[in-house]
Amino acid sequence: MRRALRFFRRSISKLSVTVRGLDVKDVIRFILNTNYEDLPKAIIDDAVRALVDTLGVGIAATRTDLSRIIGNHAHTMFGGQAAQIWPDGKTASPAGAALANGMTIDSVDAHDGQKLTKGHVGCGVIPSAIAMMQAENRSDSKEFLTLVAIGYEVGSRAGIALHRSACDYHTSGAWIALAVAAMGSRILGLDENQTREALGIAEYHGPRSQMMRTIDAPTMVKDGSGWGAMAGVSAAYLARDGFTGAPAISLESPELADIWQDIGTRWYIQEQYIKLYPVCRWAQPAAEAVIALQRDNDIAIKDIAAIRVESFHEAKRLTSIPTTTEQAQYSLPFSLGAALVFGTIGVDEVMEAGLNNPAVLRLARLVEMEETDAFNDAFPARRFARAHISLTDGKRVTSEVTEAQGDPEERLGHDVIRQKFLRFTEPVMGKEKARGLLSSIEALRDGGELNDMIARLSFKA
Amino acid sequence: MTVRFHEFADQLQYQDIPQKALWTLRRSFLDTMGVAAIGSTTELSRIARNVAPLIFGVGAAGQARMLMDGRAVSPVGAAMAGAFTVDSIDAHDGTTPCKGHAGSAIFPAMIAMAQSSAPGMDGRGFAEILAAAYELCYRAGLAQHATCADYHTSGAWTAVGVAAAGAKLLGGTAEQIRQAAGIGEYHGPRSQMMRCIDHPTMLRDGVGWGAPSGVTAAYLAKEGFTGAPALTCEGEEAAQFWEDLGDNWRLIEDTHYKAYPCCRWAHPALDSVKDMMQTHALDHRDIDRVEIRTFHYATRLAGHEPSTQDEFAYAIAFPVAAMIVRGQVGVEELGENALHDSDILRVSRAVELIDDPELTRISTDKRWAQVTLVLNDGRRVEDAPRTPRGDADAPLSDDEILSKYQSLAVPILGEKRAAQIAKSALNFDSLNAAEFAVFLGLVCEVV
Repeated sequence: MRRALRFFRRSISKLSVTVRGLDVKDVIRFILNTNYEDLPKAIIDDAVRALVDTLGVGIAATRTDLSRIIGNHAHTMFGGQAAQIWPDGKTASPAGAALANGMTIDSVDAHDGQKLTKGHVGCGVIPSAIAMMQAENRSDSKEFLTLVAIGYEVGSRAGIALHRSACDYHTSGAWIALAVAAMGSRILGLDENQTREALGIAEYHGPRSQMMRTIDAPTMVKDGSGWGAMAGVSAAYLARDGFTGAPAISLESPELADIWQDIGTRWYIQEQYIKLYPVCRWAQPAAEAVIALQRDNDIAIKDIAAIRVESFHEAKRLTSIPTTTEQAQYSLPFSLGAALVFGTIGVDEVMEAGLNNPAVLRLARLVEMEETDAFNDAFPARRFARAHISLTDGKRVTSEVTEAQGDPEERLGHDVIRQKFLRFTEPVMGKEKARGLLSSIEALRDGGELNDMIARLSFKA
Repeated sequence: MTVRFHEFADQLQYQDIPQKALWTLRRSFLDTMGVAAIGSTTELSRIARNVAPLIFGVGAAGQARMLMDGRAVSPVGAAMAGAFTVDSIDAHDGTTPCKGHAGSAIFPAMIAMAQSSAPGMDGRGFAEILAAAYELCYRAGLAQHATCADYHTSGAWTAVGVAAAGAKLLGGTAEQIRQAAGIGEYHGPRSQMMRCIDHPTMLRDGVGWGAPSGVTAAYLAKEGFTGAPALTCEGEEAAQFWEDLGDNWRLIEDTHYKAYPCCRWAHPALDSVKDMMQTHALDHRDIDRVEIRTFHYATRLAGHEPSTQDEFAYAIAFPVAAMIVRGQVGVEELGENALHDSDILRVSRAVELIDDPELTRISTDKRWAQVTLVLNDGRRVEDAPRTPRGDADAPLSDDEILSKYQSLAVPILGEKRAAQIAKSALNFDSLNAAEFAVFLGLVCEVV
């Protein structure tokens, strides 16, 4: 507490404008004034890639109970006509649609993320951008892609800044709120001062929920993204009407200036990892390790007698033997069981119907976890695991030190992401609609109709 | 823990509520409605009420009218607008051990939910909801301050109590109440209080966001959404704050009322200068300097030249100067004219706030200050260190609370409506369902 206060006092003593070379106004001008033409082609490509990946997960996630509950809730409590809730096209206010669609995406933990944010910026940014464009009758696809890029840049930095300065580990919702407020300020045409207030309101209202609570006891509140998105949209509308709330400490503190200094030159959207499996990223190095062991050693699952995993502390906290999909997605033992039985982890495996597979559960119960100093030291920039499997005949095999697939250092090709999209969406919306949606997203880069893409998301309307 | 918090909330009935708790709730009801009346005149409240329909429009699940406004939005929106309205004037009830305020969230939230989702609610039923809400908010707040490594606004922990009591209002099971508290805790804004004290803006005490967070959590839990456990209610480290739940009432022991519409931390100094000016028959022109020794946090509420009501609310120097010059700190002292009063500004600039280690050490359950007036002739008039009036050990009388209410409400609502609200608030738990509905209608009419 004392350290926090000392930090706080130092950090807010001088907020006005220039700090160590960073002008807070530069960040605000980046938000308000960046044009599509200013964005490198690679960044636009990555915005499209992020949309394909995130919206594919969102469509798959419309199957969850969580999605159904939050959709009804937003429709009844965040009433409005201006924006739509997926998949059935019910209407809500833009804040309500951002809430419902953001929580829907978050309900299947397969969307992109970034290691230093220890969270997921796109999960909140993308549904919010769609909801606000729709609500404000904006259909410019170039502006939309620009907005997504800005959201990723502001959100990733806000996340890293919050982790460095706050004394607890908060969910993505806490800092996604700033990214969404930034996009909202741009869409609503706020001036620089109003934008600064909007960012401050979003920081204050964003849920600083305790990530490790829901890791230890997984429930539907998950990564806070939908709630943070809603807070960010609301902040922009409040600021437009004159509400005040600056300064956002995570943006304006001199202690954090270095994080913001390179906005517009370093692109965090290029540093996102892509997930191949719908479970917590922390479980994925271990899942890859057992998949490799099984592949290389031709192990029959019935012969497995013991599984031991070395990884980092946070991964070791993912202990559930699940009875809900939320627990399954935050369970390392269950992830390993599914990976060994199916050779991969698909959406079906983590839905309610997949939770009673006896072979998966038998293996999950065998898993023992430990943390090592070396892997703890490497976290969060590198996430490692090593697996040991013992067989009934006494044989014992050990994996390489393994990382998850899809890290930015070894980018997945776009075709892999397209295949993931189709694998996730076709069972839910059918082949034709899935391919249509994919084409409409990819067409945005070439001036495709934004409204067409948005309409396809409400595929049950 | 003798009784688990969600079972306590689920089972609490009117006959279980001690008389002193009912007396406190009646006083809080009246006091909060007075603050809501004057609060409805602020820019902050106007913006919140204008934006609420854009975020929280009326949906399929019923509607609620916003406090002192009349327009209908969803109950979540009415909770937001109402809580911002009450919080916009820092004169509502509070709890010193929790360093914050619960009534500013609870009344707007529960009035909103009762309108849209509890059509047959009578005063007794509403007393059960209020009692559960206060008791859970206060204990969650104590637990949060003890276990979290930052000082968060009341929005954070009122979301927990509002969520749980809201689920009770909806007829939720004990388990749904438990889930609601967990969702409320997760979504509640853990905003940094000291940021808003150093840089006062409309965000203030966070209840404007905590109240709607709690209300949505209640509805979500009722619809099957999960989010338990709230660590502030169920965590191991929090257990000590829940041990005597049901035996003792923090609601009775900790609720204080404000004689002045500004931060509680200014109150001991305000009481002190009021007494000294009278006792020594001083005029503000006699005052050369004012020294206020107080606890550390309070010294950060300097506020020598507040330019907005938000800055006034988080100031000490200026309200103390206003008391010295005008002998009162009321509605008029919040106004634009007072903020430019050159006599007040002269004295305000001559106030020195001194960080006192001993007063910092003892300012936990009570807030301490010691004031010295330095006169033009060099004389020093010293007061003993003191805590503010209005705490449970030096309560404001019923008459004082009523006259404060009248001073805030009558100019805004008129004699007749103000009197009707006062009569119903002081008697709310005797109202039958029809009378209670009329009462809620009265507080939600346009000003």
